[in-house]
Amino acid sequence: MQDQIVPVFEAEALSQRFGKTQALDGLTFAIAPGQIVGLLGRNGAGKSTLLRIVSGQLKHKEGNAWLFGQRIYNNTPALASLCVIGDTPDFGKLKNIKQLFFVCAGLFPGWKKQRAMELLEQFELPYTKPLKGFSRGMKTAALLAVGLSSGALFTVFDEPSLGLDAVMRERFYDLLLEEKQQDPNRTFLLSTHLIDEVARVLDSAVMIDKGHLLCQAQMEDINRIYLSVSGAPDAVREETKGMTILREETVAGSLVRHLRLNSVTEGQRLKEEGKVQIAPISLQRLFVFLAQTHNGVEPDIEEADE
Amino acid sequence: MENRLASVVENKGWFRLSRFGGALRYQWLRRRRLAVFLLAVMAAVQIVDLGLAFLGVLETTVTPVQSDFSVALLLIFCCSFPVAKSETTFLLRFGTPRTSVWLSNLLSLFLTGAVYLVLSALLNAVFAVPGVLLAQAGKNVTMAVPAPLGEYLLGGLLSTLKELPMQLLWILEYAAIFYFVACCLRRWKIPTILVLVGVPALLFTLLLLPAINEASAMLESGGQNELVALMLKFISWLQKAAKFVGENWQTIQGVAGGVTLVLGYLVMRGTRQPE
Repeated sequence: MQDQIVPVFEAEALSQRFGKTQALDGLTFAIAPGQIVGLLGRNGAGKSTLLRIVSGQLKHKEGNAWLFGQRIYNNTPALASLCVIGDTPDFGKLKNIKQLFFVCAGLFPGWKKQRAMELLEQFELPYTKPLKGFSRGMKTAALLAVGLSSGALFTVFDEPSLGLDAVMRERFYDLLLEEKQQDPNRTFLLSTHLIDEVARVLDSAVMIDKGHLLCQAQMEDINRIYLSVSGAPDAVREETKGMTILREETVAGSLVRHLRLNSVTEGQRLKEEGKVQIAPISLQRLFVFLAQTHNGVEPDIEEADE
Repeated sequence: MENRLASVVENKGWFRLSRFGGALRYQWLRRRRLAVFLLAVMAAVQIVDLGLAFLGVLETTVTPVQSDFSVALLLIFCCSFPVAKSETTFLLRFGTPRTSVWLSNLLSLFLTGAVYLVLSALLNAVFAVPGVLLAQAGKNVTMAVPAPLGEYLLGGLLSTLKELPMQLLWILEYAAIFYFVACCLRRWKIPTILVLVGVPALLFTLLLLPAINEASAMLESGGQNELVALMLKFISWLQKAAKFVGENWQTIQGVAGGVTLVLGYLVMRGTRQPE
């Protein structure tokens, strides 16, 4: 029993309603430890509501949610291992980063002071300059430094790249990978609607839309199961018979089918036969296809497969 | 994973795990500036007062050394609103358990009042020295209770020290009451304002207005003896009420403090965080 892996976070039929709005609708998924997980969804998909439940800011009404196998709301041991960095920079009435780090050292049991100072340099942030004079990007960077230095077993970043320029965004993702390498026990959840941007750092993805779970899988599996198959129309139709087609389009005389394989071996066969070209679907396009399928938009297929 | 969580939890007491230390650090950063500012204002007032007396511009009186209890109450009243709102929001955003937030909020309010009480007494004692010396030199300064400097200071400080435990209890009680009101205002703004204004207005309407109306009617009908009797009856009722409150004041304070302490937590615990 000691070897049994307890998920960092687990939701079971989790639902949350605000008045007439169903923010979460029977969400069931689990986050395995030691991964960088993307929580992907459009604006209003329910990501923030889910994060507020994860961070103990909101008590869920229906279903179950566990952090490290324990209830979340006001549960001191579970919350001690959590760090949540919200999408709106809120420093309370703190004056500068020196004060912020002073408070964080008391808030997070695993606070890494040395690492925090290193990250300040990486993000080019002043230690004692008033936070009032910070740009949005600098404020975001200051909180990202807090999240990375918190040492929390489970660290959640809500829209981590908001306000950051391209250089800083890439630097953050590099630092995230570095942190993960240094401390493999840590789990990171990145909630974002900028899907392709985070794809390179993710180990797995959880996609939600309108409070429903669209897909949860390891990136490795996503790249093997969801493929774009292109080539001569007849060959493509022949080779993809019986597969779940998410979208079909014609590009310069070639037929392109974005689809879900029934098994990994099908992909292997397509590759070996070489009649068609295959490529993984980008995470962002896959999200769009899954969201449309879930919302009842039928894929526009020119000719039905026999 | 359980083992990894256990490695976080073990060897770290409640103080570390609950983030109570961090919450207190935040409260300390917020409160210390205000306390220093208030003490600086108090010191400036004393300096100006004694300076003008020394220059012969005005006369002043050196009051006995004591703590500023009313200012301490005003201070915790003013602090309770940001404590219950923006500061709570900030701490909860980082996933701080609500028990820790509540405890740190109350402790912060209590300590603010308590530290201010002690420091204001010490500051008064410090400024009593030049005050008494000026009074002895006859420089437009009089002493409320004439006495030699040593006796004056020692007597004042001992008296303040004697009153301090009870004043600290009052500070705790008022901190709980103000915090409860501030939490209610955050959660149910309009209903709380309605209750705060409406209940006294209702009491006034139900108790005083009928008596006033009855008295007016009697005056019009010329029944002066009846009016006197009615007034005596009313005064007697007020006396009884005042006596009851006076006799049970400590119990009333204790109950009010205890009840609002618990209610403050319950109201804060159930308040939804802003998105």
